[in-house]
Amino acid sequence: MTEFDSDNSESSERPGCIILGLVIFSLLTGLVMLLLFVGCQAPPAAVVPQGPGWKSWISADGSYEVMLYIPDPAPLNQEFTAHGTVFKDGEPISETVEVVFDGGMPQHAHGLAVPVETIRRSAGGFAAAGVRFHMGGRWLLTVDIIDGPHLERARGWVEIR
Amino acid sequence: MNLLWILFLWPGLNANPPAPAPVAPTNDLVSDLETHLTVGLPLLSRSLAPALPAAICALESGGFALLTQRPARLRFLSSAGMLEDDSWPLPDLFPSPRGIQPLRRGHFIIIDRAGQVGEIDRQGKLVRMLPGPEGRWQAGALSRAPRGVGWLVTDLLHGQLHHLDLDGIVQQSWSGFIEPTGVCSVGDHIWVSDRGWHRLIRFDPRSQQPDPQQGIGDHGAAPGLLASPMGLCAVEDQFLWVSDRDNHRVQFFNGRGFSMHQFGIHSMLPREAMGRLHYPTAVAYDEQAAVAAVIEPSERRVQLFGVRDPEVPVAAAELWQRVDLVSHYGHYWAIEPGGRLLVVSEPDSERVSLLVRDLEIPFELDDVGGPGAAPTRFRTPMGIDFLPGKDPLRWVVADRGNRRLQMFQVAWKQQPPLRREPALVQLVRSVDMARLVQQHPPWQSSVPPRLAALACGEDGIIAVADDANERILLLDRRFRPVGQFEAAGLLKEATAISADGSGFLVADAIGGSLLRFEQGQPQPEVIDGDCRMPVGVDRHPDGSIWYTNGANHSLLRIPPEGGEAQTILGGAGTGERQLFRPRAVRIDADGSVWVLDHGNHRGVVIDPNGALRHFGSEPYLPDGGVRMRKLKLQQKKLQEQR
Repeated sequence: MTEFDSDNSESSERPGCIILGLVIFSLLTGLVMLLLFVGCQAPPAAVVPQGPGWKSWISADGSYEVMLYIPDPAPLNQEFTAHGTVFKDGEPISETVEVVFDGGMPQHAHGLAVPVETIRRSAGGFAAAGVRFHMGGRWLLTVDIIDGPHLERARGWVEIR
Repeated sequence: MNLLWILFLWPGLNANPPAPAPVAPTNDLVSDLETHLTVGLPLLSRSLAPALPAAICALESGGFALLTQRPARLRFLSSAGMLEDDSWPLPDLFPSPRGIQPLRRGHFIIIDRAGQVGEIDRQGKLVRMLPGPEGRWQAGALSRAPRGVGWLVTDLLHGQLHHLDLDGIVQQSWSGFIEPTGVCSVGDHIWVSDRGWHRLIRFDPRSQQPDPQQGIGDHGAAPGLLASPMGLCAVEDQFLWVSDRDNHRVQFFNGRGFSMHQFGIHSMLPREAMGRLHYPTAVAYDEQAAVAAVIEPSERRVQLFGVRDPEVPVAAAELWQRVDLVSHYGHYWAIEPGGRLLVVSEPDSERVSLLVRDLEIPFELDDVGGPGAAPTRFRTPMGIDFLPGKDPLRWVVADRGNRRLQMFQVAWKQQPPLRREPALVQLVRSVDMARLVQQHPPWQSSVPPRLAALACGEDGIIAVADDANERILLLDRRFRPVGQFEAAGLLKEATAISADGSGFLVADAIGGSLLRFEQGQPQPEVIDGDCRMPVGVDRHPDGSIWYTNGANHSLLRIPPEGGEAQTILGGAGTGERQLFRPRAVRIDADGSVWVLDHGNHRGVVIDPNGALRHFGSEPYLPDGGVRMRKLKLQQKKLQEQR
């Protein structure tokens, strides 16, 4: 019965090592070339997402554009992740800017049944997992963009059926 | 097996130390508690007008010592309600006393708002000054430390609590409070009432740090909840009374934080006493006589409460019923220039109301706020004003407890019928002023800003008072710093600000002056350096300056050419031409004058043709009390007929 051992370096043959070394060298060279090529390119234009479920809001003072995704149609009583991207002057906001998503029904004087936490993602992104519209009707959604001591708000309504 | 059980149950062999046996309450303790729980019978009311009661304490020999402000005096009140004729002036260093505690030798420790700590005798003479906390601070409350080892003082500027030894030297300090308005020790614990958190914060100074998140209570009107808790008073080192100011009542808590009893309810009729309370700020308790003394600066009086007969049910009208913290017309409001809207700061409910103002009774379109630190919420909304421009219409609010400014906008279509529209008011932006001050070197200060009055100039410059640093900060529409006004020796507190062309008018109630600041000019123009206590100011289109005076409940007008101010409205009361503790005054482009008559919970408008109209709480309107009494009589007759 042949036994296979993970540590079989004793049985490796010299020509195989040379081939392996050449392969690794080729890969590293290619990677360096690729990095040099990418580094010389202009930064890519910010990709503005579009399509069903995407909403575009301008913050109240016009400083930010918020692209927010919630499923279309937004589900009633089911958890989902609201996510999006915030732009300032056409560029994604920096990593140090905080984003806070929230929602509520002002006519009924309540917010989300379970508060959600908004995390930042790279390239101006943000995501709030666990959002649940627990009641049908008009919901007011807000996105607060907090840059140092300054906060600016974007908001919009969605109809949940 | 039985042997094992015996070994297990044998106290000496149990691994865990035995729990201390509960102390059986003695009959005396039970009967004392029963006594405390029946306190609430109104005994009498003593007016101190024109002085404001500022602090009170119980005396070991029975009765109470109380301090007044304007004038600053020491007075004595027996538990039977006899107010000694003699009142003793306080030393000059104590014009605005904030706390008093008795010493065994018949002397008192007192503190002043400006941070002075001293010992006085029974004639108010200064015995010695105590050092107290170093640097600039603002005293909020004074109490004995646990076990009587020194004193506790709160600092409203830094949100701190300090433990002083018997010689007034700071031994320990704690931070994390927003507005520590009361303090006392119960057993080994320190209790702090915090107006910003609307909570009682209890901690053991030997082993704990104060944690407001674990505080007792929250903003609300139900028993156990609080709205602007103020002075505290320990009872038998086990319980405490709490002045629940904006609920217009006093609550009794046990050492674990359970609300066990309360008395007091908002006055139905103006100046009503005998059990009705109006913004009580401190309570003292004579344990031997079972008499509680409650001071109400807003009414310039002290009321005594004794023990009720427990067999006699309390009248239903005196009991707490489900009530909400409603509009009281706070200290600041603003009118839309040439428009229809009015916004009012309401610290009692931590809200800002938006009303349509060109109706006989203004209609509330929407409100914004609620207690807390989240965006749109408030911890004591203060100064408020509309920004110039109408597309969209915006206004700015100074949020004192959160040390921030918030800007809102409204897109109201003005289409009939009028209806309340939730979320009509939108948050535009806010700025954390404490962080902004630190980021902007010319504004940096050792004391965090304490925001109060606010006005928006014609060019969109926002001027907001920073009372902690005796200055006015200037910002643009995006809340970016653009400058500041300072005037050492001239500006003490910008109690009210209004836009005045390219400058700002300022009413300084502490300094007793009216000033005019202009950007680029190093010193302000002194319009009136001796007007006692101006609390509201604005410029009339005819060039005259109108201001409210809190000291004598009046509205005055300085003619355009200057000279002696004329009294337009005056005299304490609810009459047509009377006011009671008026605050903001705003003048529209058409010359109509809008006076916020805070003490009467109403607005007073002088139309351009001189006609007067009033709106607000029905009993506080001219003849409102008469109408209320007639209604009550009619209801009584109807009930009898049925």
